Amino acid sequence: MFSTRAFLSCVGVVAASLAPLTAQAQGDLLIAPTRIVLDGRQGGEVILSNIGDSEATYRIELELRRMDGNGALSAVPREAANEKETAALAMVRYAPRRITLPPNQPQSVRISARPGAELPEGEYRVHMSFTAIPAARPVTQGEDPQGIEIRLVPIYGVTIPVFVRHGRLEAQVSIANPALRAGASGSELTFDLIRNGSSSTYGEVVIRKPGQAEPIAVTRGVAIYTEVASRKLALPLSPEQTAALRGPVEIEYRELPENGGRLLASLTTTIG
Amino acid sequence: MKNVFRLGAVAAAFAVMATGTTAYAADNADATATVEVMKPLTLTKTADLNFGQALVSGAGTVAVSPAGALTCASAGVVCSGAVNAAAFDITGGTAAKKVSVHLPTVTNLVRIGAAAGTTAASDLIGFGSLTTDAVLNATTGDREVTLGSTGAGSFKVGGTLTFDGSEVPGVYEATFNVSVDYS
Repeated sequence: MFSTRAFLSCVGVVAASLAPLTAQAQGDLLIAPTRIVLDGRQGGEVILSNIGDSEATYRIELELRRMDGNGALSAVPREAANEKETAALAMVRYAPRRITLPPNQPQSVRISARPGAELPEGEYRVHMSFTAIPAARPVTQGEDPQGIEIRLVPIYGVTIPVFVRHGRLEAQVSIANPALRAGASGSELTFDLIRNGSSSTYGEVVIRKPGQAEPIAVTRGVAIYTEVASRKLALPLSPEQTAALRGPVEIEYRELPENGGRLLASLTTTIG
Repeated sequence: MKNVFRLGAVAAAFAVMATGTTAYAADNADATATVEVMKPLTLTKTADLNFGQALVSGAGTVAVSPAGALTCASAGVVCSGAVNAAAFDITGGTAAKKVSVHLPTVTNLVRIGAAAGTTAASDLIGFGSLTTDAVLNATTGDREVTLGSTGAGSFKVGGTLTFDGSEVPGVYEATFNVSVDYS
């Protein structure tokens, strides 16, 4: 019997033959802004830009996420949507739903919401997902591939929240249970953010010594959604920051400066 | 029959996901200007998942752990060469933010060029289990990476290939999802 000993060419050769089809950074995307708030009258838009170096197609969809007590978001299948989530999905309109962009080309996605007259007051939310669709599989016709190449293609995407605020909404926040503990990579300052009311909140957490302008630590982009009454926050600290915490410290939760910088909650405490 | 498979680099080159760099500028005679710059978030692949070379004479498995350790104990497969787990870096994110890593439920790598929906053993390489060092969130079942105080994090991905010995040469492909949720 003829013994086949297929010597598989080095991957370099195989890869090289595919190079034009597997350009670097295919599907990379830039999205701004990273959250949209609609009041039902005015629409909004999101800029999607292809920052990769080859043409890419993106799919834009509405998804559902729920926040847990640690502030983590988990996906919720549409079948499991509650009444508010179903209403949110029904009222948010957007276009286009699929965009093919050459490199460095931006395009805007228009978003609007039409809350029905009967809709109860409240904050409704969906998450808009932007996913790069992997390029069509290259069919290597007329080639006789010599080797086996394993290719794991990551599909990566971003979701941003889209809020529809219907009616007069408000929220109060307080801070509780501050503690210093050992985390996975050094010390962490942990505390609870407790929220009341019909609106979510979003802002930055600033840790500083009372009376000092220079903060010890700042964490931006801290959200508390309406589905949680409180969430834990764990701020990883460097050894220098941990040392600076000793004694009285002030924890502030503020809206971002560009949103007005309003103080949402503050707590002065002593960390062991 | 013996086939020497040289299993190489993976993950079609890719890199960088960035979100958010906007600049609004208003300029007039009074020189009022506002600029809002959001930190771009990037996701970069820093290493390929590389199974090295395998001499396949029959059924068997080759596994690379997230730590980069090779398991190659099947009688039908002899391994050699350097192996690597895939590694991804996240930079520029929000400190303490959790990033979800979704791993695929696909069980096969499919040869590119094979008929759609093929079930021929020669067109499939079993891809039993993708593994990662990202932490399991018991509540959601997702794997998560928590970004550090500088907004950076990383995770590694390994996997297991299962051969039945009939695979034909070609490019075998599967996909997995990495997603970042903004809040």
